[in-house]
Amino acid sequence: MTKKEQIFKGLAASKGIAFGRPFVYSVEAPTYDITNNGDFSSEKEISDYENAISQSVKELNKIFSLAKEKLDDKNLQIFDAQLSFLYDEFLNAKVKDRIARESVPAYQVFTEEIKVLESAILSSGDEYMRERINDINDIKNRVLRNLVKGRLVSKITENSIVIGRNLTPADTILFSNRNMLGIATDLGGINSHVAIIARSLSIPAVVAMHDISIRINRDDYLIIDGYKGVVIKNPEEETIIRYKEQVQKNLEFEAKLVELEKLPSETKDGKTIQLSTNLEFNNEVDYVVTHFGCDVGLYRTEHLFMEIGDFPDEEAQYKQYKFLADHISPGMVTIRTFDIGGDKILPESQKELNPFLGWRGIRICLDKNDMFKAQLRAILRASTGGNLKIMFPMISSVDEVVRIREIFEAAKSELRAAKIRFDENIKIGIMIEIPSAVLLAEELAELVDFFSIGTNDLVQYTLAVDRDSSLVCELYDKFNPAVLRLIKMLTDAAEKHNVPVSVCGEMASDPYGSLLLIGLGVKELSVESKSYLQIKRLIRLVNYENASKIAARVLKMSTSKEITDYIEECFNKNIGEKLKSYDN
Amino acid sequence: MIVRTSKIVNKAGMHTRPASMLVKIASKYKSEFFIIKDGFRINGKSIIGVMTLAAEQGSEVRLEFDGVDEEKACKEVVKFFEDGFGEL
Repeated sequence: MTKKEQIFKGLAASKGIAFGRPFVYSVEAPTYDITNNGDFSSEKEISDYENAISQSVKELNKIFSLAKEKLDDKNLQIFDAQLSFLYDEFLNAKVKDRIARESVPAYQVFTEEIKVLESAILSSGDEYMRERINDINDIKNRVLRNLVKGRLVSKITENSIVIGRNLTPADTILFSNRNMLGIATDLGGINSHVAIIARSLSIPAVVAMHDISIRINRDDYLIIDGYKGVVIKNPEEETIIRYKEQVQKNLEFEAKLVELEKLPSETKDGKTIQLSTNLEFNNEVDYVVTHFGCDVGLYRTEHLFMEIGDFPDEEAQYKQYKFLADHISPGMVTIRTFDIGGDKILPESQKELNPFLGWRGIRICLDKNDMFKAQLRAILRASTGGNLKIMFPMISSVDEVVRIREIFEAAKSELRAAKIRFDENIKIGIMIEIPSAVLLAEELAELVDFFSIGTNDLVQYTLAVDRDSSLVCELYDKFNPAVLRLIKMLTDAAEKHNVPVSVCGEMASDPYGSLLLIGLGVKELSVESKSYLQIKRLIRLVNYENASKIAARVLKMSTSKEITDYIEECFNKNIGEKLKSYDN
Repeated sequence: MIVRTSKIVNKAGMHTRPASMLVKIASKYKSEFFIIKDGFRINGKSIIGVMTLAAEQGSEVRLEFDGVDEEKACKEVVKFFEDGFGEL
């Protein structure tokens, strides 16, 4: 049977081209072959099951302790109830007994046993009862996830393109340790977490493909094109040749960009624009040091949390921050404190309706004082080389910054009392990503040493658009005049108070975006490492005075179409041709 | 063996939280505890079992206690039912 070439379209989320076999991943139905009895061992299945249960108990207890302060007693009993499922001796005995007697994998037995319960509940005519299905799903998915976790990893030993309905950040990180070649998912937008992580790992990704996860089989051969946002299933010979040629061409472009590594990041008329890079994973460090030798304008710490599903202790964090400080030195590293959404630590039944307007970022840190202080102490202890800065996410009010400073001072006093050295001149700054922070910029400027604009969230909060919603993500527009005017307001206020402004959001990695930001008075851009040289190339082609003029003109425009048309025109006239040969 | 009949009186029925509390109460006693509803007989010390009954408001259940401390167990469990699982 010959297989026909088929093209699936989605949104291009991370540049690059890869060829390979798929690994179709789903949380609910495992992809490992449950009918393969060749290496079936009921002892192993039973011990896997026991481990999955005890791991789930551990996780629930952890969540329980995190949520304790936040929830009332009645809601807390949900955890208790979920735990009692895991402790159900009758269920556990039955599952183990069936594994042994019927030689059926744990996954299958457990799923079947829970299904009996689910159908009983669903058959109930009572709406209250039917709603309980959520509690059961929560616990079921947790156990199943723990049951497949070990195998999941061991199954992706060969390089493959990961296909899934959706990948959580934790999944993405898990896969990234296994030579993932590319990612294609049914859901997600170009700014969803899976997309951002894919870009920082330099892996091609295509998202919002609707149903790719059920259209790909494991014996298919795929090409993933992260430039055009397509996945090609079982490509014809000539398609493969065409793509191989493009990969070759891309490599040549990249080789040309390498010439830029040693050149300074300054405009044509000699104005220095500080160019730094965002960083998340240790395996990016060597590349950044050897190729760019630049500062790290944003070091995200969330992955430390996501990898272990809990806040790492002070010692573990200290080691990590020290590693970074030592390796990036003499470059500066700006460490952002945990920017975690409440949706990562609250159980299914307690999730907020609007997590982006809920318990996240600095709000969690300020509520969980001990955890926050442990992070600050860890950063301070690692700061002895004098090259660390601290940045706080999701600031919406002056009060928050006052409280942060109190906790920060307390952390410092503790260290002084214990005679532990740290950088007494360490600088602190805040993320500007909520419009209220822009409006309060003059007051905030009195309290901090620097501002860093997180454009992704600033756009989302200014325009009230969920960037992950496929229904409205088109409204997510960084060139909306309201967004640009807010940025201008901020740079004006900052200049008045002599506070430097950097941008670490995705807008800085976009050619039009970075041109505008330079014109609006931003002196530092922190970009994804993949875009670093392209943006440097752009800065070197730009005339600073022209950029300021373009920005001034754009600020008077009232629609984003007008704005993008105008920038495009300026681009084509001045630098477009030169830039084009470096861009795809 | 003691047998009693009880009614589910709280609005939300035998959902996750009361089920887990019931299991906790029953597990304190040595006596065996079974619940019978619509011909199904389940072990009252298993939350999966209790939930499988999907007992909504107004349903009647038969409670069976058998063992050395059956009287005490019966007393506490029946009271828990009468109190609407603390949700009245």
